[in-house]
Amino acid sequence: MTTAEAHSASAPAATASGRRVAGALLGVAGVVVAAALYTQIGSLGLGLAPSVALLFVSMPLFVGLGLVLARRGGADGGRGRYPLTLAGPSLAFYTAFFILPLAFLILFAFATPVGFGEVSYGFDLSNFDAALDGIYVDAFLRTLRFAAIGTLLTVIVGYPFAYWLARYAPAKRKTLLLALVIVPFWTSFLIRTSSFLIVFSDSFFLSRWLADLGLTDGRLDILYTNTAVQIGIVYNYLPLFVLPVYATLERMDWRLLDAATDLGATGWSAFRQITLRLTAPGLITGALLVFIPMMGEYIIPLVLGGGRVDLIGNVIGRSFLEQQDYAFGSALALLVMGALSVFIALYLYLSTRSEQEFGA
Amino acid sequence: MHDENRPDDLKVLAPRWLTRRQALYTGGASALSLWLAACGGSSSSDKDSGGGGSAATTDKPSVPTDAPIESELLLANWVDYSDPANYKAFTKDLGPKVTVDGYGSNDELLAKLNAGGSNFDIVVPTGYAVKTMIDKGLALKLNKELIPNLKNLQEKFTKTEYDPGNEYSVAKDYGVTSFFWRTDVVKESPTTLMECYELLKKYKDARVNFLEGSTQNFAVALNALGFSLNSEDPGEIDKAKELLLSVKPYVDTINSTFIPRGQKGDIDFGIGWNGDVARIITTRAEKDDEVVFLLPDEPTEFWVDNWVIPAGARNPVAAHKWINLMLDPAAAAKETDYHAYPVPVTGVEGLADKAIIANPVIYVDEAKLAKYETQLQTPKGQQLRDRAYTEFKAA
Repeated sequence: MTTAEAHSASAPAATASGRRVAGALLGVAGVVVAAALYTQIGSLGLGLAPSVALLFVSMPLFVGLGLVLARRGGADGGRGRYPLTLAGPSLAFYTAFFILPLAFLILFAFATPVGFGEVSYGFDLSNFDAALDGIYVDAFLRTLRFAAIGTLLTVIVGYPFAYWLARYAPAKRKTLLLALVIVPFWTSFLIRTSSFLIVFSDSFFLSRWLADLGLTDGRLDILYTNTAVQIGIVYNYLPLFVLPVYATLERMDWRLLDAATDLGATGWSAFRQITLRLTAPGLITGALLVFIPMMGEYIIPLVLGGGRVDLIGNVIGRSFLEQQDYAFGSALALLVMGALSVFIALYLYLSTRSEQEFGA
Repeated sequence: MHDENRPDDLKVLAPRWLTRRQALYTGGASALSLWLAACGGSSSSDKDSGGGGSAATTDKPSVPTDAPIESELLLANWVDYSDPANYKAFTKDLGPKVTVDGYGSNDELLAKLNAGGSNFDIVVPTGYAVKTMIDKGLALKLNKELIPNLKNLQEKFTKTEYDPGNEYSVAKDYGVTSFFWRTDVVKESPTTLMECYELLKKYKDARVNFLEGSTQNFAVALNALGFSLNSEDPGEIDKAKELLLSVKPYVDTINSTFIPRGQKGDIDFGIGWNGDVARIITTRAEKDDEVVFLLPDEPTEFWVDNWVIPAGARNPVAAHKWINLMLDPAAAAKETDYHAYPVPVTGVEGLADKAIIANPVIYVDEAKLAKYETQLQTPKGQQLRDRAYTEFKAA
């Protein structure tokens, strides 16, 4: 902190952006120092309790860094008096559990694996070379397909329901209906997924009903297939989509639609030109909120795919948890993160634009 | 991992300021594993300073003989692989509360142990994985004074290739890996592993289960092709991979926990271990379904699973006592009755269920067993298998 202040005093003429860059650099340098500090905790041989204590004592260092960073950035805007300390806990948390692990991930990705989980650090691009191999690209594309179809189905199933809930559902029943959406979400994710093992099994009534209706020839034969995984994905992520969309639809002023109809618009064009555009931010948020975790889905293919349906998350998970190839797993994880960042950038662009067009 | 020509001495050149273990102990996902590492802290740092060598450098027993027994025992076992009555009896007689965690392959177990922080007191690795654990300093040297029942262990199992003299491990039971099928689905009677792989392509609608893990799948495929299951020849492993890829479209599930589904009749054709399949055969027989386990005349995998105490165990005394209990003929007989594998404890034959002792699928003919092959594990062989297995799984 003192260094940072001295630095800013010595360069009073620096532009705001210049200061921001300096602040960012300082932050990065600080994180590197802190990371080095962290790596030493384990080798001090203090035992567990003192190590953990030291870990948490060093947290304020990150908070301090964050403060310096934020101050550099915000000082010129005349808004520098925000109580930045409020950001402290989350800053410390994300530094310890996100930024640092990410730094290690990068370190591993460029290291050379020497077998049974050990790596030799360096600048080795062979992990990325291996990760860009056809089968992994295929696994990524397969995951992309699952996530895209899953998101589309979630929108098709979830949007009409949210619309009905916001516009037509009896006011008295709204809370109950909303609770019905949320309650399954409180149930353990694993139990919800495993329950489909029963639903899809041959002995469950669904299988017999479909056979009785003549839709299947005896056996449902859906368990441990792509279809089962796809259904499981949509089911599990549906509430994550319905809630933000409902929130935007709830804020809709439905009189706008009446006005549109009065002015001669058909129901469809009123929906398209008003409702859809006003709720676009919620729709995009909801869609992304389900798309991103779908891309990283790991448990559902394991349970409902019977270990046979391999998404990119499973490939990454296996390289860490079974094959102890940390270098390869890290490289693959970084590539997937890079690819997903494109979607997030797209989301930020789209949502900002639609918000600017119509306001919120 | 993906460069077979990588020099072995890289490990020596690797900067020692930060091993992967230390990095994980102290870095992010890892702040959590610090918590979990708990008392394991001191023993893991011993290992690190050894640079992967053996942990046993002194003659002092790893656990003092007169140490008091702890109040807990965390056991990592293959799913459904010990009689729950024995867990209860252990708690009742000696005190420690038993908690059981499950896993599905030796690869998974080794990864968990090597990452640290798992805190298991007892694990059940197969012979080759015992060797790997010893070499990596992941196993605790046994204090035999705490295991008086060791005298009951059959002599053959005191001279194993992977741990002669039982310095680190005690055999739990042994078995064979091969194919099994329902005779109402598979009409032929294949006699070799290769015929089974070929038949998978014929019975497209059969519900097929394979076991988990790269070592396991490649052992069967290599044997089927007539190669040693320990082959390190990239060409042979490639052929095994091609064989596995050619049947992948007909594999429905890849899961080592297959007993319940087999007993329900939901597996028509698959790869399994003889004792597990024997349990399926018994259950299905009650429903008049016939299930057959193949005991080929050519080599297939013969394995021995073992009780081992990991180096970081928090309750080593309780762990020793558990091994001691498992060597007691009465408790061992209960184990055999439950999991349907022969237990190498003298005196079990008189106490266990006669039907199990007489079952040729469980107590396999010695002449056949002599032809079967045991796995060994090397970093090079493992790397070749892992990469090929990933292709099989991702295909």
